[in-house]
Amino acid sequence: MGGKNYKALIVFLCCLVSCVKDKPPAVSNTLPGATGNVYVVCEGSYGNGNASLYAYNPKQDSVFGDIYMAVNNAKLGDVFQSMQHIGNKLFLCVNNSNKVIVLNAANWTVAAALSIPQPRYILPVTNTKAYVSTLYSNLVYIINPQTMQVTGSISMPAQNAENMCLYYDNVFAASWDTAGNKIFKINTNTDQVTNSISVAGDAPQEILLDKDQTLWVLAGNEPARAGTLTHLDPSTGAILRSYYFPAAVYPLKPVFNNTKDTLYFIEANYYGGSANNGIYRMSVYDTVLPQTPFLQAVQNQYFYALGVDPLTGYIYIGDPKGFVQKGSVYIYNPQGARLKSFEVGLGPGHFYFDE
Amino acid sequence: MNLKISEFENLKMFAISKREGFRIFLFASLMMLALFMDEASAQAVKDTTLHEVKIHGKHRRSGDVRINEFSPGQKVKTIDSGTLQQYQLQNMASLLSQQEPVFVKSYGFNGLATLSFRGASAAQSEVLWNGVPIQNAALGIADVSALPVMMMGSVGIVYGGSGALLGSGNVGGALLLEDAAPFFVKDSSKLAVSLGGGSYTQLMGGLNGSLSRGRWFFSVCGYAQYGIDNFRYTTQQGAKMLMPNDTMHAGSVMARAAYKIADGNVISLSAWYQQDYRDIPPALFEPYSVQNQADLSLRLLADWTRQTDKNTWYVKSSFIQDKVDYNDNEILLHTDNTAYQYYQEIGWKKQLHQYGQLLLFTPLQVAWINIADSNKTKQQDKIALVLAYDYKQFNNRLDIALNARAEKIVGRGDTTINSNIFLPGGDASFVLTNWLSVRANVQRTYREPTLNELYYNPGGNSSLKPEQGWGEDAGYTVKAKLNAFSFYHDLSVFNRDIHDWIIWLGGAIWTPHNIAEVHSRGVETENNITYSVGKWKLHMGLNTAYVLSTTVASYIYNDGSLGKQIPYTPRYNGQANAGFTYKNLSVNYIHTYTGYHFITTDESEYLPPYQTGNLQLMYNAHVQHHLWQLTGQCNNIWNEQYQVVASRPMPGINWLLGIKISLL
Repeated sequence: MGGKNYKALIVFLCCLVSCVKDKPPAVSNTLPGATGNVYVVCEGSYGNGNASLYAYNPKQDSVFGDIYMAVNNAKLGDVFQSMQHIGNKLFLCVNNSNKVIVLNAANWTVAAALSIPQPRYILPVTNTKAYVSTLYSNLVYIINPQTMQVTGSISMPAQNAENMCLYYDNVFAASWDTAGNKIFKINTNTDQVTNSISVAGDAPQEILLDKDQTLWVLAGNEPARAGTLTHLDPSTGAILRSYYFPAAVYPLKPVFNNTKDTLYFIEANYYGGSANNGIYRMSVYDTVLPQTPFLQAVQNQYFYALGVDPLTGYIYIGDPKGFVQKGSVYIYNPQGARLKSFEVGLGPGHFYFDE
Repeated sequence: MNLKISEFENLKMFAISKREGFRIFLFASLMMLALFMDEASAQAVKDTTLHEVKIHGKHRRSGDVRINEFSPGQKVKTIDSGTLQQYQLQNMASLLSQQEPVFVKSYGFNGLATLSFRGASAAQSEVLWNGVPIQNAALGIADVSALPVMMMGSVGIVYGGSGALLGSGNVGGALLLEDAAPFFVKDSSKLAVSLGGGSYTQLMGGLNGSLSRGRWFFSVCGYAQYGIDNFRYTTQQGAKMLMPNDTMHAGSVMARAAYKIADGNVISLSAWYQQDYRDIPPALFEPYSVQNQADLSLRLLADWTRQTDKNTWYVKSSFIQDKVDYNDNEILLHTDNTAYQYYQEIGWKKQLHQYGQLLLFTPLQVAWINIADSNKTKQQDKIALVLAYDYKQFNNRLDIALNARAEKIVGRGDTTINSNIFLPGGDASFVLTNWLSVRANVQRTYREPTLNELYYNPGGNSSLKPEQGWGEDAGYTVKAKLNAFSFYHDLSVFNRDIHDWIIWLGGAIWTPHNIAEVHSRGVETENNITYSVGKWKLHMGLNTAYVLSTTVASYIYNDGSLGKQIPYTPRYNGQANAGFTYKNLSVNYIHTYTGYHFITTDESEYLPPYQTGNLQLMYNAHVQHHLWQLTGQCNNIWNEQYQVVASRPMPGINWLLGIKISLL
């Protein structure tokens, strides 16, 4: 082989694969103002410890994140489930890291970290009391938001306390347990379970109060338990109406609009199809479930976060894009026109309107 | 400039058609060459003039005839026996991560470790034991951390897919494991005992023995390991902590009995039982962990081979059971999954004439699992007919092989799969000069989704499409000797396009989905220099891999992964080594580098590069007619704090000392 052939071979090889710079570009995080924010609770991808806190400030029309990392120079943890503003603190439930992180609301610095196994949701009860529901146990923890300490716990009759709702001196708590179909009534003065109400299906998960002070309970855990929606009167425990989702439909994350007369929820198709996939809505007076989506998700897309801005009524939707890349948030007006979209952290799961 | 969708599609189709055209051209060229050479050989036979000839034989690359004789264009690396001795008390994950430019995705010290060849996923990388695939039949992956080096007589690596010969599912490459071949002499007994210990209360021991009496051969190999593995690591807050919940113990025993019916006619039975238990330490985001996993594997293999002058017949029949018992009391999760596989292969090799040989075999693979929480059994059957033709010419300088597999895959589960696939492949190598040889190969690849990907509860996706594509690679080897210096240089370039690549997506429940197209390409080099003077032998080496594996097209709306590197596929990976051998002492230093690797598909999150330094010593001594072999290894000598998998820290500096005594 002559010298020319060698050179040609080298040139050929160099052309075939041109090297890519290995170091990714640095990301700079800026911070929003302390008020007027819509927080985006980004779960992260389960098992990877990459949960994050993002914020969208509608007045500034700007997105900020990862706020926790930018301020505290540490990762938030694994599966950021929900958050709650109580007093001058933000309480963040980081489910698979077994902790509730407390941030100073003014500057997002860490004020405390409470060790609570598998925390899911926090419900403020009084100035000195909040309930924390937990997965894989029958305990609801009691914390003092002012001292930032765990002060006790409530033993529930069923596993997996999930969403909770304050109703005068009582809290109604859903237990996302496939072996049961009950929601439980907790007296907030005694911190004791005083009653239970059976709903239309097993595994009650979400619980909300509408404009008429009646309760809506979403239950189910597909594919083991089909989804149901139960409308009931909390004062008597009487079921006003039951709605049954077809099998293989995955309803999740119900929220009310700002006037609490229209229920929005997600139906997610995790397997790539477009059937039963999108945002659905119904009046609290509808007698049947909506058949067609208000906003259709496209093939190989499903929505995972849903919120309605109490100030504007705008609908916020989170698209996790498989939980393996940055998620997207889409903002729609109540007429269904898309107003804006932006990128957030991995797995946007909830919105918290702190405006 | 905005392209209309139709224009974009046209461009895409044009690009695809160009690539397809190249493949067809390459494949057709190899076929034409084979046919032409057949004619040439016929003419050559007529030439009765005797010439002095120099035989350009190849060294044995593998005990697997498919690789050794019918894959001349494939890059195959065999780990030398000295290196295997150095790692005799360690597992395949340690061996490969320090010695080969493959990416070993390790979840921690003694934790689950899977292989990635040339940017392929773990499920696209095959592990074969004596020619039988031993990946978990449900998961489609093999945990190489559970494979002790001591059990194997030979370890080889096939770079690049070889779907036609090794079966559908072989996309990125294969790890070839073979236990010591039986031999038949009048009277031979061998027995060696190994003991070792090291950091983190690591204790291990092994026994290796064989007995040959005329027509009978027996061998047994046992290995046991215990470790607490409580290494010091750095938390996310910067504190130094001892790793909790990290106890492991493992045991493995392999026995073989072989009987020589007649010369070239041998029947053998092998059994390999393995049991591992390991606590799974907390990830960096977990304050504690109570997770553990117990694995149990039983592998049985019956093998019959009959060789005559021009014919070889063989039958292999194996049964494999893999049980994985995972527990996490924190989240009340207990899974107990058992996968079964029956594999059978009947083959015939025929030397057709001086230049050509034919291989015909028919593999049958039946895999099944019982799905948790139901009494349903899911099954996947593969039966194939494979024809391979190898042709050598010009005094063995030219070696061409054409392979083709017709395979039928039948799946029984929530959906019925009934696929008929055809996997062609072509290989060629040519020894240009005494010091330079070139090679090339092109293969069609295909991987049916695994039982887990289809039916795992929850998360299995029965509507998954199979992965399909083509892979090509080419390379050259330079081997030269100049006085006391020996040089070895090998370079490979590869290219692979896979459509409907399978990736797991999801939050709490993960579900596999198809990515429309992934394009992998890259360059690998292997370089060695040795200098021998007197009783000294000095060596230096450098292995490098540059791998781009990027998403070209996606079914996901507004996908941010287009043009981005597939997660856990470092672009840069390499090992440098230097050392010497003096009389019975050998000293070697290995420095490994693994570049940035992304943990998300859009490259938004990544792990930084890491380097490890590893010092190895081996000393052989004869004491009272017994061979004593002392080994010492200091891993991660520079105490690098690193993670291969996100939030799973790896240990800092650690030691391992071992002794092997050949009693008989």
